[in-house]
Amino acid sequence: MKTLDEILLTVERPSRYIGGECGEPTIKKEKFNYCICFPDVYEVAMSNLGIRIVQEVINRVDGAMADRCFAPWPDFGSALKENNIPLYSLGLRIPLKEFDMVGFSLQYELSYTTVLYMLDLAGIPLLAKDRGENDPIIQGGGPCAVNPEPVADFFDLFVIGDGEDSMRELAKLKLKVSNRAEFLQKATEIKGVYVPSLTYPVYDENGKIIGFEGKKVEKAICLDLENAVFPRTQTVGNIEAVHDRAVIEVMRGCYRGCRFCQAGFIYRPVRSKSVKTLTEQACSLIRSTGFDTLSINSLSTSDYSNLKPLLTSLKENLPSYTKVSLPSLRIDTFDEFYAQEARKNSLTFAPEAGTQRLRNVINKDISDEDIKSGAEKAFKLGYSLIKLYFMMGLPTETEEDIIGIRRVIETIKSVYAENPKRLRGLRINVSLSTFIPKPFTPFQWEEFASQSLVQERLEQVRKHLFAKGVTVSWNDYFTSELETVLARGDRKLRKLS
Amino acid sequence: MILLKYSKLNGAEFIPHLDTLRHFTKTVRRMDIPINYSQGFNPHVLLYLSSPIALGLKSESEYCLFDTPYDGDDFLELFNACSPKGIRGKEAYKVNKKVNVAGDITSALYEIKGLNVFDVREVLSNAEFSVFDNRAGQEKIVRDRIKNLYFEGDTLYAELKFGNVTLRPDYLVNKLLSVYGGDHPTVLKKEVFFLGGLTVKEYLAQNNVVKE
Repeated sequence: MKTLDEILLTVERPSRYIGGECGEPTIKKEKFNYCICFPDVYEVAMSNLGIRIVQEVINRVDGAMADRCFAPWPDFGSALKENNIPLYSLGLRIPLKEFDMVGFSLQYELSYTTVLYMLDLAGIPLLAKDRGENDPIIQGGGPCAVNPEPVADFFDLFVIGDGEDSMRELAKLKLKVSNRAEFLQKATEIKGVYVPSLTYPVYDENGKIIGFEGKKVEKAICLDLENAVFPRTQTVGNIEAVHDRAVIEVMRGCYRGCRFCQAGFIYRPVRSKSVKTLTEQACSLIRSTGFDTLSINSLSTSDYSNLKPLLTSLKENLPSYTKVSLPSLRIDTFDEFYAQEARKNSLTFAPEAGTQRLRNVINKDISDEDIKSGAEKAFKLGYSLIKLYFMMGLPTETEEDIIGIRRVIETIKSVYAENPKRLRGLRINVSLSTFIPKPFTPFQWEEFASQSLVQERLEQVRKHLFAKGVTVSWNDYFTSELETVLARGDRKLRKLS
Repeated sequence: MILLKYSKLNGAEFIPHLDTLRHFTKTVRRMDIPINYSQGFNPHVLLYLSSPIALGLKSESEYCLFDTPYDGDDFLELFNACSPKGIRGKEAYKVNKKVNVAGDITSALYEIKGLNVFDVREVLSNAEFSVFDNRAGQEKIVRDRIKNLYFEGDTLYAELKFGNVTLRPDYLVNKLLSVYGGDHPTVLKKEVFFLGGLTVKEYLAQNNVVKE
């Protein structure tokens, strides 16, 4: 048997598993102990804003505390198993099974198996029906929780929608009610809470869902984003996180209604914060963490109406070394003013479809003209690498749309050729992903492309897109297929495990 | 400039060298003290760390030189308030010129617990004494890198070369463990010595760099 310290010496990146970071919330054991888990490795988990907000919400409740736990890399996971050490939280190093409630942030469907991996390492029964009075309540949340059915049997309850209010109410309820069955029963009264054992699907003789038995669940919405809980500081990772920077959330939701986009629909309505609040939050984060980069996050930051005043205000109030990064800029709103701060190496545009016709079908409201003018502005600023995102297998798609991608590339190339400032050759990276019909989007009942169709499209891609300076990449069909099944499936999927 | 002696314990021993440097950069910004930046295209905070130690080695004696005009007496306090839990400032010296903390530290004293007591003369008198070097994948003769070896009770103290010529204590411990046996030995880097075997205070006094 090895001790934990000895195991840490043998695994890769042991600082993933030790906690003690600068800026981690100060916690001690309380009456209600909650652990938020992120089913991915430390570097990814530490970049997530949602779990930080949930942790803050719980920690502000009297008598409650929230710790955190992330998925170990397989080397550490198997070492834990071999040496009979149960998976533990990072803050207080308490085994997961000793918590009253363990929450999982479900950000993408493919992380579902990691949830099971973590439960297994923690020694917690996988199925909700096998868990008893002494086991923690297993809770799920995050964007994937909008269709929790595929994993419903593994969770005791889900929080659907924004967690700010529902998580606080859950913590308060758990402080009052300790009996498991009674707690789950009462939890259904909280808006956004879905208890799969109390609300379940009814099937007809063909195995098709005809309805649900039990209480109807409504998504929780935090309407007052301005005054919503937001952590004053941010934990600085022991090792560099994927997004190693301070993050503020300017907006929740997106004004656009791209028909394939799940985030655009499940985060409705659009809510935003004021420049004053954002500046305060940014200053507090930057000063307490020492980060030199601030990321202004939302689904579409350039749609934030006060972006210019915000950038001016940040420039005035933040220390001079701070760089402001703006992810999710849209091609049609791309503006020199926003790009000033950014490093001039690459620029990402997501036209999603090659022709105007298909862009109209999916309601992606950018035109060829927008692409042209966006590229013109970008090249004037010195960019020479353009990344383009497209989808394959969209409804009504034909070969003409793949040829359309070629036309987009040609347009960008010709714009670059006219640009007198060009220093080096233009590089264009084209990423093609397979369209996945996601629940709660207008395309939710659309067909997922068959493998033969994707093969055909890839042949067309080879025929039309391979050109000098253009790199084309696409994702694996099986992975997309799996994601589709896990996104749209129901409870019967559990039997596949 | 300020020369800081700090410890890496309580988990911080698992933070790799470059990430330690990143932490110092952030700590300096959190301390909100003036600091000099490199003058390149991507300016970075001017900090100098002593030579890297093996990942997982606990240490009570690491050094970092801050290129700062700050000379407040509360530097240590400020540093500890802003630093991650496992990295603790222990002593701070104001110096008036750059100290080469990487090159001028030449040996380190390690405290090794959990090894069975043996006669150290067996090692010291063996000119062919070798350890297995994991990185090179072969045995290496290292007797000349062992400056001293002695027991106090059942705790072994080893003064080994450190810096440009180094003997990693974990290699030594693995060897001793295989020959003499022991139970889950632990290593702690207790102290470092500068050129000529000087302590930090002697070294600073001799080089006339202490700022009054």
